[in-house]
Amino acid sequence: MARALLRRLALIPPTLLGITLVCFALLEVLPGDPASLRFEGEGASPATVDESALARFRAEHLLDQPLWKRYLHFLGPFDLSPQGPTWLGGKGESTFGGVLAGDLGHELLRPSVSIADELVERLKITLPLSLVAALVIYGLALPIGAFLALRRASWAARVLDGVLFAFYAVPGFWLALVLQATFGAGGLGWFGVVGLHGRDADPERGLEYALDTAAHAVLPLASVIAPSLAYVARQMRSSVLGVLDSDFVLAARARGLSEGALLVRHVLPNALTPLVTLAGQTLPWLVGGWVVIETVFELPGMGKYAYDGLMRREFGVVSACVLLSALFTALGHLLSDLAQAWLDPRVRLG
Amino acid sequence: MPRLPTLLAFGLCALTHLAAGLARAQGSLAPAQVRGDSSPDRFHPDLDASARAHPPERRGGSIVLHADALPQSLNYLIDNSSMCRRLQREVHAALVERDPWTLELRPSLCVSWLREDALVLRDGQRRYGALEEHAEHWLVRSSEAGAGEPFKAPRDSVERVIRGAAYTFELRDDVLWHDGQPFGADDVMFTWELTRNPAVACDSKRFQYARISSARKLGPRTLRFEFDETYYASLAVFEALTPLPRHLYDLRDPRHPEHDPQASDEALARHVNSHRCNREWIGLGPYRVTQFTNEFLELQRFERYYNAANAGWLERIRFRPIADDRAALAALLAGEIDFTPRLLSEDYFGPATRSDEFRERFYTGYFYTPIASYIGWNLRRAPFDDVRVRRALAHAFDWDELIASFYGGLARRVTAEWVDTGPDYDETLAPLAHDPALAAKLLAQSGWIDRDGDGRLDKDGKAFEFALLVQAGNKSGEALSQRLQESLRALGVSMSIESLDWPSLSRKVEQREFDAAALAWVMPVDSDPAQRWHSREVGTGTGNYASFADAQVDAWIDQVQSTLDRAERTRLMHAIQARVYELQPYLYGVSVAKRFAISKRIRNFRTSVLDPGYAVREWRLTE
Repeated sequence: MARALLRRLALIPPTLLGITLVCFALLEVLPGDPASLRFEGEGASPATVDESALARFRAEHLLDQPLWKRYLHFLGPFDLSPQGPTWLGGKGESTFGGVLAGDLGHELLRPSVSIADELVERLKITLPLSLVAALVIYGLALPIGAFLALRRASWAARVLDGVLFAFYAVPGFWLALVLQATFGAGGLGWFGVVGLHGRDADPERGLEYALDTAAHAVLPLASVIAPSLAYVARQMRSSVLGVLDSDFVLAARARGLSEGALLVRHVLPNALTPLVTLAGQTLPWLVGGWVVIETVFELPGMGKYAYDGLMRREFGVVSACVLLSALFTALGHLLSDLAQAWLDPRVRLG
Repeated sequence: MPRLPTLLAFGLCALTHLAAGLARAQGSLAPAQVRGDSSPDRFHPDLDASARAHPPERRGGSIVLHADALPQSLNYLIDNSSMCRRLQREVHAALVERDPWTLELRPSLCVSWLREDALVLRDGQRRYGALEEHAEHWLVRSSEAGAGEPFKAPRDSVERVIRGAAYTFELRDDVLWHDGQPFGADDVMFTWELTRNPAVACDSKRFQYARISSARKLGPRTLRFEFDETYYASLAVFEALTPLPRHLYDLRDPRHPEHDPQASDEALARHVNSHRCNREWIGLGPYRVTQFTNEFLELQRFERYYNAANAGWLERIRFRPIADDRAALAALLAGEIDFTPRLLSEDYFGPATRSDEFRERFYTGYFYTPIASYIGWNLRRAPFDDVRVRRALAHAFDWDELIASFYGGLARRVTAEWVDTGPDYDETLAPLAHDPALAAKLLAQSGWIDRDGDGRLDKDGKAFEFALLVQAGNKSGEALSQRLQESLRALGVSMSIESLDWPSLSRKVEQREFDAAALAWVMPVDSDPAQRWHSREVGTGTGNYASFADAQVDAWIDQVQSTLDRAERTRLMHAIQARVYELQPYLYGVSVAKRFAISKRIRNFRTSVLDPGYAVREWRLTE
């Protein structure tokens, strides 16, 4: 088990390497020049800027360098920029840099903003929302799925199944817009529709601030939870149905086990195994699944950061977001495999 | 309001007071010709127009404003965005500032300025002062105390004359940075020196600062700047030269926490470019920045602001970034913002702003700011190299129908990209009429006729087809392109629409990899047409996107650069506009009104030609 675990852990770095390399290659073919975007704005466009300034900006950020060099600079651990070590042709003002040196660099358009610091700020918004969403999804989906399987012939289950199907079918952004129109200011006016805080939000106001935040989080959470809840509940339903059809359930029934005991001791533990796999795969969604919803609700979380980064050709930001998302994906898969092996002795890590 | 892709204008705002010789500024100067109503609260439903009765003036209260995005930084030296410049009006100050109502430059950080002209003599000497031109000689009256008799220079000893050759500023003595440190000449000198440091990221504005040839500190509150050439907008350079606090930004300053007397220019530039104060701003304006998060930017009134008469009425202002205009309206209705200048047309005219609930708390209105939309033709490519084709395409499109149906009448046609309410815009230049028959005739004259009967015009075996670049998600661009496509199809011209995100579109335009592009200019009050229309700007990466070249226009542009006389400059600007419009390198479009919704409790709302179109500093609350 330990050896298998180590082997799986050892596979994560090359996986991340591959993913970031693909990301870099894709960004390379994107049209648009970050240097030009940097110099656009009031009173000027790149047209008014000395070509040498554009060239200097490109050189400083390695935008004039081949893909492999920029990738190695992003990867680290050595700073390949003009400020890098002298033995690499730099000015010797810094030696280390890049992911391996724990440095994700700074934004191109906001040079005073460290990408790592900004990611932390953004995750402070996205992660709590994601965790609440995950708890609600699994807290509701498991009993709902079990109910749908066990009472599948009832009218209540049929109605519920139809509702879940509708939730599953509608696109998240559309649901978000409908919720905004229905429960936001233009409709019932129950919840905030923009941002995570009201007009006079002040963290020093404790409970008032928390309630305000909660009121603003309801609609984004509902937009994320509804489709995922439907999906997980339907997975749970299928899983329970599969277990109910198993021979060992038939045998247990034949032994005279009560339905309740059968459910608790045999059906649910076995039905949960595939759900554990699904839960592990949910981990990357915790950070990467909010792009659309954060954009619709103007939440300054990580999804919006990645989206804005792409629109502004902030390659460092996009690469960092992809790296983080990939890391969560790899860890999620590993955790789900571990959990599955722990739940089902027949499963072995390979 | 739907966003147009904006390639922003070049050039500086012109001065209207540059009379010959010596001039000392003493406050606001004679107003320029500014058209439009800027009376306070003119849209407010509770305003008694006859009495012009306003609630009593009082300070205090807080408001939240909608911004489509927050700037990357608040340091206008290195951040060239319009949002940064708008915020600077509240959180910072420059040596001179532009009055939003008269559009004149007036003293801000300075008490006054002294302008001198110069004679450049053939022996290399320069004589500064007030110039008097005589038949045989020039007289120079120096402004220096005890200068004695005026200097007399025979005409043949004079190589050239520089108007506005030097400005001497006397700074105020009561100005404090937001951290309480006194402001002085050293701060301005340090900032000017930064503009000479090529590693400081002010490249977008360096072309303005580069016009200053030298600067000197004459005393703790006296500065002198000199120019090598006559430039009609020389004083406006000081509007853009926003001082930085030397004690915080200059590594070589002993007061700096990381004082390093040996710091290299590059190290200093890196320090400035990435300084934390670029966001945690320490400025000189009536408001100081108290919070700058991804959710909002908060300003608080700075009690020690030097100009009590113009110190703002509101205690706190928050700017809230909301990219989606419909979400902004929802936020307004929810009471989360008090003002949005970006109402969608369907909301402005639709039920969203007509309900009793809305009208009880808000009202709407509109104002024009200097934005001119256009379709730029690539004159390097056939058939757009033929003026008859360009004029035909202009006659083919019905702008009035677009204005009526899409903009609900809140847009007006423009015939130039100059500010259409400003003094240099030629109002007499009539837009080309919608005339499809004339368009077909012009196309036929240039050889485009349907020879093979397939319904499409052709010439030399090639059909008339081209692609129009439009920014993806831009509703104005989409509406325009779809209608234009229909109009041209009726003529037998096939136009495809290529929607691109802004970076991609911008790149294609810069590299001239396009047939036509739907764009817009956001103009300063007076603009320098050189980068847009001079033939020396033809090439990739320049502002002459259409690759337009005309010797007559070149000559007029060259003349404009050194023409200080307002009337003569206006005449030249009109001549340029007429010639450019005749040659149609652009299919000129419309100036679209900004539709706003505002809380009724906000009073003293006035609209201005100057971007963003209003002055938050003058707003006050009723309660």
